[in-house]
Amino acid sequence: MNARKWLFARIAIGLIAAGLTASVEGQSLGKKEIVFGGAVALTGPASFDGAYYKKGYELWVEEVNKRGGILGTPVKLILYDDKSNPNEAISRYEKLITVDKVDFLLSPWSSGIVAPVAAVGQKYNKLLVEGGGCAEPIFERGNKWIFSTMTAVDNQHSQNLFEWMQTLPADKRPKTATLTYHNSLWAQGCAKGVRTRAAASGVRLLLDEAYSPTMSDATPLVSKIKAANPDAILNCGYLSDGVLIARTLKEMRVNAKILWMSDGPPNRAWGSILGDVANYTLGTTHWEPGVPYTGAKALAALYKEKYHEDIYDKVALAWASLQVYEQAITAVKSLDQEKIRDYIRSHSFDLVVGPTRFAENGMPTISTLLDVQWVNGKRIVVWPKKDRVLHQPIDGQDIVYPKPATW
Amino acid sequence: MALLTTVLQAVVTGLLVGGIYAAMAVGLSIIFGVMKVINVAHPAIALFCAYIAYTAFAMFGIDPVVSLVFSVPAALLIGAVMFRILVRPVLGGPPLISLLLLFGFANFLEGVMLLVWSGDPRSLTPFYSASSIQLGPVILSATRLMAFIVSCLVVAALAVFLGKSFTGKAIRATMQDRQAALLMGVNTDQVSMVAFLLGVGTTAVGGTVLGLVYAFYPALHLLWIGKIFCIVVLGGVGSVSGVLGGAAVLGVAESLTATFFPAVWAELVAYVLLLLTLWIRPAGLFGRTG
Repeated sequence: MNARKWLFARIAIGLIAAGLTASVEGQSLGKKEIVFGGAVALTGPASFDGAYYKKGYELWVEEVNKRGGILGTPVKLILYDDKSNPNEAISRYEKLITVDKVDFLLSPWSSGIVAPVAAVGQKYNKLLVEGGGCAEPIFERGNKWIFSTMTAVDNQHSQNLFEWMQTLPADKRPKTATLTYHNSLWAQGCAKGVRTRAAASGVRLLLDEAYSPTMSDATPLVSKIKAANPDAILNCGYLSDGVLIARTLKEMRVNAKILWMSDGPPNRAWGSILGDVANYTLGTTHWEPGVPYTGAKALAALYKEKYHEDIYDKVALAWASLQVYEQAITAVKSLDQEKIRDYIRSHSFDLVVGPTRFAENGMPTISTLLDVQWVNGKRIVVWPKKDRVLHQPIDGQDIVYPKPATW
Repeated sequence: MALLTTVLQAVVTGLLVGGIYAAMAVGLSIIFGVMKVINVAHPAIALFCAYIAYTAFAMFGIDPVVSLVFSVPAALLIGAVMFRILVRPVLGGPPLISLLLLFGFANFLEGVMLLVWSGDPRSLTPFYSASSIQLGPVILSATRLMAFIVSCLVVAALAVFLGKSFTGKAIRATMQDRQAALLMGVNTDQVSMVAFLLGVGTTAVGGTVLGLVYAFYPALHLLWIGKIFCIVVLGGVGSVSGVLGGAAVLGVAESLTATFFPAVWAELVAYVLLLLTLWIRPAGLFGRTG
């Protein structure tokens, strides 16, 4: 046999072997396809973030099927609209489990909806790896079927801010602050964290007040902040309420050395809605494309190619929850809920949100929160300087402090 | 003195917010007054108009108030289609039917807005966005002031139209007693359509003022329907000046509450006021009884 024939023979043998392995692996999961199902807010007040979970899930399914599925088994996605309504979410997840008989559950968005959905999963002994809710009460109910890729709990949201304050010379540190918060599950937890950390770092809270999620005017709240005249204005809330408060701060000409608004500034719409008002506002995000984790930059590029817009943290959180499923299924070579659950609990995962292990209650054991600041129309990572897991430098800049009195 | 300033600031702020409320609620009141139809799609159409203003501003830099030139006709067109297809066939039927139909239409519009403009929050940001005017010790937000002035102009125009013009008088007559108006030779069907268009036309103003002050997204209409219905009931159904009064009372009450008590109580005030009004003056604070 000449060299050429020998080469062909080797290729042929290789291809047959590969085909055999693929078919054996396909059979080993015992199914034609692996079905992932979930409901996210596509309409209703939570829909603007819900839409990014949908994009994250769809992109992942497309990519996995492009490389031949998981262990040679293609992946299918069933996604419903929970209408931003916990009751609707509950009935959708009941249907996913009992009628659609999906193999694995995907996460809805926002703590207030993840909490009841987690209970549904628990009722049917169905695993929920979620990236949509990080409020502590979700993990305090002895639920053995939930894991979260949001690598933080609510009280860690202000960790970066207070840690950074300690790096300032004592005479430059903010001594007083006001705390206002959206009256909802996650923001209440965030406010609890601010209280604890403020007390520990000697920052006196001059105001500690909740506001309604449907607040139609922030002037009274901002009048109270103005009267308190704090060094730092701290707000635990979301985008819409943050926009209203930030604009009112400008209108009422209230300046402080720090304006930290938790979940508002990380949002991609923050800068476009607020324009100059966004300048120097600080906030806390779960993820930015500049993090030094496996696949982070590639995901950002892939997302941009598909959707022609910049990625932000919600997409990565959704993606990471599916990475956990894939890595566990590949290792266990089974779709058995209990085996996969036990595997997830006892192993570590290499995710776009960082190398992650899960604690007994399902929360990740690491924190990858980043503080960002808007500077001249751009969202820039300002703290920490090195990530907390791999201790590698993160692309970023120094915090502009004190915040220039721009109004 | 400081207390007086705080009270003054709260009252002025409340009145300005009341202007936004009035712009959102006045059309609902007219439509309900004439046809006994609760237009739950009202805030959804307002949002649609806010998106039109947004597009005109983002693409051509047209001031949101000027873009009423486009958004009012758009609202009228939507109103005409709605009236023909959804409202007229069920006029006089059980109120639940029109309520369900219009709720369905609101959801349809939300879907259209999601498709066209996505769920990302938007806002109207003309040069006076987030700027303010200092009047002695009181600070006036420029966008709220603009919203207030536009609302007042529209409500005043409506009041003159309803009070002085022949069609306006026919609308009021139909509001008071449909049967009697019919017997006096008023074409109540035509009056209904005019009133419906008038009501829906005002949503363009409501949407524009809303977009000037808030970040808006397609589902926001769900948060407004309860509040504007509350204003209509507070002020007295079918009364234009009543809506203005109801909106001002609600705005000032919320503002004073949030200033002197925990801010979360402000929302409660709307519903306490509503319950008290229904209990003491069922026809509304400014409505005629009997």
